[in-house]
Parts: sequence; structure tokens; C-alpha cells
Amino acid sequence: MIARRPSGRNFLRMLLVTLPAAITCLLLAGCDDGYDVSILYTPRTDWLVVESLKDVVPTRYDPPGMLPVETLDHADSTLFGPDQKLLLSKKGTSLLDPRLLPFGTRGELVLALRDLAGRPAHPKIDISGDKFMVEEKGNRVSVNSLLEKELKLDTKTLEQGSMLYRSNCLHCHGLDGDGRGPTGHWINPHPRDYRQGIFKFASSAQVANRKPRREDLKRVLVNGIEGTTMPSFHLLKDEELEALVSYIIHLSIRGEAEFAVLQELIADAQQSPPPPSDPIILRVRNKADEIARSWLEAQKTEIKPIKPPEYKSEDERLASAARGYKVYSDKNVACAGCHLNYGRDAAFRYDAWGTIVKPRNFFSNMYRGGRRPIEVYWRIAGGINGADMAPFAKNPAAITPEEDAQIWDLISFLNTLPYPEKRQELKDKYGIEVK
Amino acid sequence: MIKFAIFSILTIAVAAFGLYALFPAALKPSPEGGRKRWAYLFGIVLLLEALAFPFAAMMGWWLPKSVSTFSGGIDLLFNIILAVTGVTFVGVGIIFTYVLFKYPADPNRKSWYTHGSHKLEMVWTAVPAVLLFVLAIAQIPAWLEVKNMGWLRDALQAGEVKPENRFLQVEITARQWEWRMRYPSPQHIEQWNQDGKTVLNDVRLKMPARPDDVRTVNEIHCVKGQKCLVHLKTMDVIHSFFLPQMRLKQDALPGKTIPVWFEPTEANCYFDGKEWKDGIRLERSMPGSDGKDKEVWVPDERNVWELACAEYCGARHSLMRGKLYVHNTQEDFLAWLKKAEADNQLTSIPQTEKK
Amino acid sequence: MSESTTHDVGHEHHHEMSFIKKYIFSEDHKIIGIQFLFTGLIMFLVGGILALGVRTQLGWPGQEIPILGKLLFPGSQGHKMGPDFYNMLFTMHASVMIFFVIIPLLTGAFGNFLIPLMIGAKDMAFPKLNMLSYWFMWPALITILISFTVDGGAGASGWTAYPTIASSTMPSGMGYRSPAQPGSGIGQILWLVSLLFVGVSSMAGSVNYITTIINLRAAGMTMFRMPLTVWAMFITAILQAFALPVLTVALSLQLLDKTIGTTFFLPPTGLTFGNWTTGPGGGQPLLWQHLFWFYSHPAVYIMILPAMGMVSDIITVFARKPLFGYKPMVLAIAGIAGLGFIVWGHHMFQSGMDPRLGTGFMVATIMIALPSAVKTFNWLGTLYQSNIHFTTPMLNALAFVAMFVIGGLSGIFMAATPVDIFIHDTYFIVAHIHYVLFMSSVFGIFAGITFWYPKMFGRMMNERWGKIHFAITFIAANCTFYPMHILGVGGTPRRYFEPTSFDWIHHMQPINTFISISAFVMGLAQLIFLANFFYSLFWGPKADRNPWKSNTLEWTAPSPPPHGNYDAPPIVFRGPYEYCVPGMEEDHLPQSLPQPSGVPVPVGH
Repeated sequence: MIARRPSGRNFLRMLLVTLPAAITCLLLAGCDDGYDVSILYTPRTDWLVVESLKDVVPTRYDPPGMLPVETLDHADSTLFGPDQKLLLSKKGTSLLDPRLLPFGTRGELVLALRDLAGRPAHPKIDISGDKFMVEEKGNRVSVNSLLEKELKLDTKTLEQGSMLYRSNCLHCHGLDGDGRGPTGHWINPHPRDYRQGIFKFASSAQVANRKPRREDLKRVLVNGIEGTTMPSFHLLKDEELEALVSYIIHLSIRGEAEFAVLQELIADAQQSPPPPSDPIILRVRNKADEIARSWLEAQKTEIKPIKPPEYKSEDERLASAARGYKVYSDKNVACAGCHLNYGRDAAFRYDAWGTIVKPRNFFSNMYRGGRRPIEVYWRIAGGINGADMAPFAKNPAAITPEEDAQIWDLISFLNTLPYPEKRQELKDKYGIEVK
Repeated sequence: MIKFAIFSILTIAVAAFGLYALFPAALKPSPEGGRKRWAYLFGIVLLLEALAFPFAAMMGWWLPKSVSTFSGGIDLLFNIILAVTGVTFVGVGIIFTYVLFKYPADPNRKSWYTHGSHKLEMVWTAVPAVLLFVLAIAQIPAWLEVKNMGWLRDALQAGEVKPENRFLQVEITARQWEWRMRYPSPQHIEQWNQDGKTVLNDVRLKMPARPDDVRTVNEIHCVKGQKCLVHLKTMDVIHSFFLPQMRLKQDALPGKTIPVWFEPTEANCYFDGKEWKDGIRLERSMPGSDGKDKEVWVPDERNVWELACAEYCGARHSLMRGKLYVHNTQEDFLAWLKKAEADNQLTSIPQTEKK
Repeated sequence: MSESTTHDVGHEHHHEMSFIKKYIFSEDHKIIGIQFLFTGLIMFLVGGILALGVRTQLGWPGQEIPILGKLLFPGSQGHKMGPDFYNMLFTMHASVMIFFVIIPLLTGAFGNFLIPLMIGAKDMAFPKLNMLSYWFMWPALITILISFTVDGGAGASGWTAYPTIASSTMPSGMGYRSPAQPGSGIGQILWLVSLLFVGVSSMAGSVNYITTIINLRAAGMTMFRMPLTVWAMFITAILQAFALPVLTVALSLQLLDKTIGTTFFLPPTGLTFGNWTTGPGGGQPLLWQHLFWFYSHPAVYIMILPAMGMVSDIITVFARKPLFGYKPMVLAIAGIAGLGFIVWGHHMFQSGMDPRLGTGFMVATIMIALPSAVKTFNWLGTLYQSNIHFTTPMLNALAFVAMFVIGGLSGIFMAATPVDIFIHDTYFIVAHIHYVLFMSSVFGIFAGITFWYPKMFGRMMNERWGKIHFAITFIAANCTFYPMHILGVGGTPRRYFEPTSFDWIHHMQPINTFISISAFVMGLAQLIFLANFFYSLFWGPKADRNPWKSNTLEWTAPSPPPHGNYDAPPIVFRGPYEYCVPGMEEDHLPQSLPQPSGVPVPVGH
């Protein structure tokens, strides 16, 4: 190396080389660019909660880090305490293990599901086949086209939704929407597992296999869920929220189809010899078709209050609350059966996902499904899916005027509970004492 | 990604080549030749660093817009300190580089044998001491104005809020990971605007919950030219209420309700017939036909004002995003509040709620 | 006691010791210093890798990391770094760098190696305690490394571990996991335990340093003839001895909160995390901040003062000129240490502390800039009209001076309370702390290692590769940390997982990418240093006793010095900075050399 004298040329040379490099660095500033194409949805390996665990009564909320059903894989875990034993007794009946299925069957299911739902980078719901047609206005249209039209499950929206999901939801709700993302285990209530196809807060009036309407999912995104770790996303653009809703429905249809087929396969495996059956790919499509139809149906139904009340004065509101107290304490309605002591002493219970919940404490002034009267109305009239909150209305699709009035009175009553001065008024004017 | 790796390698190669071009001799272990280049290295780095600030300001990588009554003072102080430290930095940098440039080892020269100078020590102790002390004292008023809330203390002492000091109250509860706001109902606000006494009860009791409160998530609404008093609470861990454009930051402490205030001097939202939109600015235009000055709304992306969490609070710390809407007039604000109240009390129409 | 111990050590000198006794369970201060050096360097690597993890996320938020992404974040995590992982990374980066790299390197490695050698002692006052102080690092190291593997990962509440995110626990009987976040469970407990061990180690060290410096100075070595390195170590040790108990208390209180369910940091209202509630407490989250910063602010000076001392010595050697203003320098160190105890509140301006209290802390904080300024001016004075030899240690020392100016000046912004309202907890702070701790302390450490390497191992390091390493590190580190000031002025809050989530900071994302690339270059450059270090250990050219022609006592001992250090107990005749004395042929006049005839004795020395 020859020692050169310092000269301006050297600086110039260095600047010429480093400046473009620096500028390239600046241009390189990257951001979220969606899933890698190589990533696939993972096959389900966690326990299936197939029947209600109603007769297993937990004594407390589960500690962070592990879902209650996951403790089944750690039989020696002391983490979950005495409640774990109760859960263990349900192995094989209410709780099924998909890992016991033969490897080949599970692989076949993975391929069938990929055929149905694509991969995270290119999500789709594809139920093609001559069978899967719906009669609409005299025309036969394919389920696929209806899903695209009514549920906005077209690939463009889904791809946008997938990117948004990756940056906003993935770390809790997980790649497959299983609620087992890296942070998911550590918060309680645990993030919703979409793969059961059940969503708690819905305004649809279906009776069996009730699905939420798109508006319901969007409302949860907009308002967040107070008292849980689900934040509000209302600062996202409207179009982005719609895309997210579409993607969540996509995950849910995929997951529920998997859930249902796994359940069938496990049942088949227990019979010997196994009964003759369709190939897995067809079973998945049949199930997905069924599920898609109930999603489509849910969009058309709605729980509609008959006569929303208009209170002209605080006295009228109080009178309604007093009537609500009567409904609340009615033995046939039995609100207090679960919401013991207005929910303050309510007992723990398992919900449809095998997580631990508790009926609402009405004094907490916290409304997870939303605090607007209409949202409370939907929950009372139609129940809360997956959480054993029974519908108040005999037929949510056709609420009778009496039921309507009673629900509004109940809502008025519940609204007085968190406020001491209101409770006092109730006592002074109507002699109703809420302790 | 792969481009990431490629560019890392590229940058290293470029840096290595740049070094080679500049310092072939300096890197030689021999005592002779090319020593002054180290002075160049230090000099260039220090020079680029001095230039980085004006460059950043030019690129718009600078303080966000300043729109509260006290933000101007804070910015002024920032600029004064920037000037003082900037001059010091440039001065020290020049001396440093000059010394490195001037005095590389030279076998023909002996170092100046000295153990220091009492006089010089006195000078360079006393001058910065005075400067720093003045700087320290000068900023006390601005600090107390923001955090000590003299106007509220005075009002509480007098038992009455003067009409020109009327303020808006909000309770903001932080939790993992969002902000929940609670406003008094429009009726209460109107009542407080009439009467400057009862409002102080609410200040003392830190806004007790009422059934007709208006609740929102992640958005603060307030009025231009009116003080907004925030009762800051948290349900779980420490969060920090950060309004960059207002130059306001305050931690929310578990178990405490901390009062904070700010007074915006500019509006950033208006009602477009369907919803309230921000990112907009009022601008005085030419007098209209009636000879009066008119104000028109002009879109301005610098007028999207956000609320952030500035104290580490867990997984979604960086996603606790809220927005600040400053209404032009009290009427606009009340109109919004009434709409929000109506939305809170919805009893029918399962509409798609947005905003 | 000390006398008999040193006698024993001197006696043992003549015996051959087994490898284990000599290099592992050694009571020799030099070996202990070198042990600290190696542990520190290994942890430096760990901390650096953690930092690069942080930078990957910030530079390319949300993008899939090549290869590693698939390995680290499989299954339902979607091959993407989750926020909790990121939080763990930055927390452990800071904890490792502060408690396992900078403090052990500066006080542990250099303090142990240099203090006895520089004051002319045969060994430390308490060699066994010294050994203990090193071996207390090991439980700390093991716990902190194990904490990466426990359920929920290592601590993730920032190195400041503020309650209630760090201290929240489930009600008793529900395990040690935390409802606040995964890292605040067992990981946080291990973090606390680990820091307690580091505390014991530091405390043992500082007691030893104070005693050694007061009692074991060689004949003629008055306090004001000590090199600045020793002064700095002395004052650092005092700082540590007085501040550490408070940290120990704070750590113990949080440990009690987390394990047996006390409520020192839990407010009476209790906390709600979704379904979980903690139940009422009786404490105050703010208490932790007071206790923690009462230690951790002085700790910032613990992490810089020794580097300042070493740099002062190195600069005089390579400038061949007496130190400008020796006594003001000593007073400045003492001033920084004294003021350092009454400025902790400046970390808490926005914490909800009484704002009137803030003004007092603010004035004290601004005044602490003064001794720092005096030191800088004196370094410049030393360089003026000198003969600067640009060797690797000198370059690193010069970088220290230049970079400390930036770190010091940016501190004034944060000290100013009104400006701090905006700047607090933004990247401005991150830039400031890195200018002080990386750009200053770490360059000081590089300077120290390269300077004393011949004394430690008897071999020279490679100069050319040393300079290449310095040049790349200096440029890349400036590219890494300087733009953070800009991010801070723009208002980017620190500890953000997603730097693009807000409109008002989104447009600054190119800066983040630029920083990340520079950080990777800087990280790779450290491999050059490691290679140079280990290569020279075996194949470097042999060094003689005084390769740099320095005045201080350690250079009169053989390289490396044997057990017992000196051939004969040294006698000190003058201060350490007599270079280019007029009337002398040689340009240096070692401390232990009797006054040559014809050379005037300087006044006061």
C-alpha cells in the first residue's frame, strides 16, 4: 500500500461512493409487507372442546401463560392448581385430541383445507362444485359467488385483510385465528379462538349455529371490548375494517370446517371397522358449505326491537327500572340464578372454548358487548353465544311486544345499578332495595 | 429479506472502500505520514453532525406542529438551548479538530510543558456556570405554567371560575392498551358554562361517574381557546399521556388521578355533514362581498393530531394510538357531544357505527 | 490485616501454582481483572446481538426476518417477531450492557487490574474479597442467562423495571406469573435476583478499592500524585458504596412483592388486568422510581467516571504533555459525583412527582454540566501544543472526548424541565444515553484495553487492525446514534415496537432504516476487535516493560507483571504527568525515577 498524500480527489471519491449508498439506504425503508408465500396455516393440534364442560366448575380464573385445556398436555403442571384434575376427567368425552389421528389422515386434511382456504399470503374460500348451489330469487347461484357478494370474501379484500391482520391482530389471535399468538396466552380473557365458529356478541336472530352479522364483528373492532385486552381499532379506515372482518370470517370458516371434520374423523376412528365415508376433501367442502350457508343466513336476520322506549323524564326511566326489577326477580326468568347477587357472587364456569368465564357483575359498570341500550338488548334477547347466556326471547326472530317491553325495563334497571344515587332513588320512590 | 442482507453487505463494502480511499496511509503502523487524516476524520464527522440538525429541519424531521398556549414557550426554550449548545458544539469541535490537525507527533518539536492555568480554569468554570445558572432559572416559569396549574389553584381558592377561564373536563382512563374517555353530558357542560361554582365540585371530586356521561374510546375532543382539564387515571400499569402537538406529557400513575391541562390555539376538525373530519385548518381568506374577513377550511395533513403513550406499558405500547380533535367553537363541540351522546344511548337501528 | 495478606501474596510468588489456582480461583488482582475482562467481553457480544435484534424490528418493522424468523417464531406466531419478544430484547440489551458489560469492565476489569499497579501495591487490600466479588458475578450471569429460557421469557419491563408493569403478580397461590405481561413473571424475578448478585459483587469490589487506595499506596504516592484513573476509580467506588444499598433495598422490595405478596409498589386501589385483579395494596408505584434512580443516576457516573480517568491518562501519554489542570480535573470528578446524588429526580419530571420539586432537581441537573465542561476544556488544553501520536488507544480516547461533548450537550435539553416535557421518553434520551454509554464509555473501554493490553498479556495488539476497527466503529456508531437525536426531536417515543404506527413519526422511518444498517455494520466491526484481541493474545509481538513510554508505575513492572507485581517496592517522586520536561533528553520522566540532576522540580509536585 503506497502512502498517498491527502488530496481533494479522495474525498470526492468517497463522497461519490457513500452518498448513493446512503440514499439507497433511505429508500430502502421497508414496512409490513404481508405474509411470506411459504407460510401455511398450521394443522390443528390442540384439544377440541366438543361438548359443554358445564358440569366442571372451576374455582378461579386460570393463571397467565397457558390456556386451561393446554394444561392437559402437562399433567404434572402445578400451575393450574386443583381445577386441573376436574378437567382431566373430561379427556376423551368432552375433550378430544386430534393428534391421535393417523399422520396420513391429518396430512390429507391439511391439503383439503389448503384447497378450501388457501394460504395466509393468498387467502380464499373456495367451495366449488355442482352440489354447492343456492336457490336465490328463482336463480341457482353458486355458494362461492354469494360469499363474494354478501360476505365480501373476494380474494382482493381477503389479501388486504390478511396484511392488516398480520400487523394488528396476529400477535394475539395467532396465524390461524386460534387465539394462541405469542401474547395470546398471557392475557385474560384469552383472545377469541375463531376456529369454533362461535362469536359471543351477535345481533342475528338465528336459533341454531348462530353466526354474527358483519356489523357485529365490525362493531367489536370499532369499540373494542371494554374490560378485556381487545382494543378499539376505530382509527383504521372503514375499508380496512371491512377487510379485517372479511379475513376473520375467512379464518372462522376455515377453522370451523377443520374443527367439524376432525370431530367426525375422531368419531370414525373410534369405530372398528371404520365406517365407509367420503374422501376428506369432500367432507371439508360439505362442512364448509354448511357453515357458509349459516353465515349467509345470519346476514339476513336481525333482532329488531319492536318499540324503543322514549323516556320523557327521569321519573319515567325510574318507573321502567322498577318494572325491570320485577322482571329481574321473576323466578321464571332466573337472571339471579347465574348473576348471583347481581353478578357479584357469580360462579366461574367453562365456556364453549374451554376458557373460564364469569357472568357479568352488574355493579362494575363494564359492558363487554357494548354499553349502548341496543347492544344490551341484543344480548338479553338473543343470548350470548358460547357462554351459556340463554336468549330471553322465545324466538329472537319474532319478539313479542311483552318480551320487548320487559327487555327494555330490564335494561333500565341494569343501568341504575352502578350508580349509588340512582339506587337510592329506586329505594326512596319504589321501596326497591338493592344491596 | 434478502435485500436486507444484500444492502448490509453493500454498505460494509462501501464503508470499507471509503476508508481505504481516505486512509491508506493513516492505517499504516509506521510513525510517519498521513497523520493529519485523523483530524479530517474527526472533523468531517463532527461537521456532518453539526449539519445534521439543519438538514433534518429542512427534511421536515423536526418538532411537530405547535398548537397549545404553552407549546410556543417550550419550543422557544428548545431553540435557545439548541443555539447555546450548537455554538458550544461547533466551538469545541473546531478547537478539537484544529488541535488534532496542528499537533500530530513531530520529532523536531517538543510539547509545551505546562500543568495548567489557574486563570483559564477560573474563566472556563465561571462563564459556563453563569450561563447554565441563567438557563436554569429562566425556564422555571414555563415549567410551572404547564405543571403547576396556577389558574386552577386560583379558581379553587376563590371558589369560582371566572367566565374567561371556563374549562372543559374529561376523565381519561388508560389501560392496556387504549384510552377510554368520559365526558360530562351536554346538559352538565351548559350548566357549568352558566355558573362558575358548581363545576369546582366536580374538579374536587375528580368527575364522579353519572349515568348520562358520554364515553368515547381513543379520541379527545376539545375546543379551540378553551382550557381542557384532563383527569388522568390508569387501571393497570403506568402509562404516559403524550400529546406531541400540545407539547404535553404526563405519566398516569396507578391509584392516582393526576390533573393535566392544555389549551389548543388552533382548530383541526369540522363537520362535513356526516362525520367530524380532522386534518384540516382554518385560513383567513380575502374579504367577501360583504367586506368582512372570512375563514375557510383548508386541508392540511399536519393537522392530524395524535395521542400516544410515552411510558412503556407492555406489548401494544406503540399501538396506543388516539386522536385529538379540536373544535373551532363551543357550539361545534356541543354538537359533537350531543351526537356522541345520542350514539351512546342508541336504542334501535343497528347502524354501522363509525365515529 | 492487609499487611499480612500482602505479605502472604509476596511469599507465594515464588511457588509454582496449579492452573486452577493461578487462572480460575485466583486471588491475584490482575487475574481477577482479566477474568472480569473476558466475562465482560463475552456479555458485550450477547448484548450486542440483542441490540441487533431490536434494530432489525425497528429498521424493517413487521418484515419477515430471513432464516431466523422461521426458527424463532414458528407456528401460530406467523414467523413474525411479536411485541413481547421485542420488549424482552430491548430490556435485556440494556440490562446486559449496563450491569454485565460496562460496570464489570470499567470497575471490575480495569479497577482490579490497574489500582494496585498504579499506586504501587503488591495486590488489593482484601484479595479473598476480591475473588469473591468476581465469583458473585457468576450466579448473576447464570440467572440472567437462564431467564431467557423460562416461561414467558426474560424480563421485559425495561431496564428500569418500573412498577406496576414489572411488579404486578397474581394473587397468592396462582404462581409467579404476572398478569401485566409474560416477561414480568419468573423472568423478572430472575432479573431481580441477578441484579442483587451484581450488587454484592460491585459492593465487595468498591469496599476493596477504597481500602486499597487509602492504605496501600507506595512510598511517596500522595493522594495528589495518583494518576487520574485511580482518582476516578476511588470516587466511583465511593459512589457505588453509598448508592448501591438503595438499589439493593429497591430490588429486595420488588422481589418480596413478586414472591411473597407484599405490596410495596401496589397502590391501595389495586389493579385490573382484564379478568384478573390484584386486590388492594398499600404501597406506591412512585416509590420504586425514587429508590431506583437514587442508585441508577449515580450509576450513570459509575459508568463514565473510570473511563474519564483512563482517557485522561492515555491522552497525556500520547500527547507527550502534562495533563492540563490536574487538580481541577480531580475536583471535577468529585463535583460530578457529589452533584450526582441530588439529581435523580430529573428522570421523574413527568412521573407525577410534585412539579415544584422538579425545579430543584432541574437546577442541580443543569449545574452538573459544569464539571463535565471543565473536564472537556482541560482535555483540549492538554492536547494544545502537544505531540499527538495517533495510536489505536489514543484514537479511541480522542473519540471519547469528542463524543462526550455531544452526550453532555444533549443532556442539557433533558435537564430543562419544559423541554423535557416533550423530549422525555423519546429517542432523544436513547441518543443521549448511547452517546454517554456507548460513544464515551465503550470507546474509553476500547482505549483502555488497547492501551493496557501489553501490560495485561505481555503482547502488543495489531495496530493496523486496531485502527481499521476504530475507524469503522467510529463512523458507524455515529451513523447509528446521532440520527436518534433527530428521531427524538421529531417526538418518536422510545421502546416502540412499531415505529410507524403514528402519523407524526411515520415519515421518519427512513432514519430508522439507516440507523439499523449502520448498527449492523458497527456490530460486524466488533468482530475485527475480537479477532485482533484473540490473535494478539497468542501471536502478537512481545511487549517490553514500557512500550508506550508512560510515566505511571504499572509500566515499571514486567509485562505481564508476576504475582506481587514489582521487582522491588517502588518509591514515588512526582506526579504521573511529567512529559517533555524542559532540560531532559527523554520526553518522559517516570514517577519512580529519582530526580535527574539539572532538571528543576516543578512547583507543587
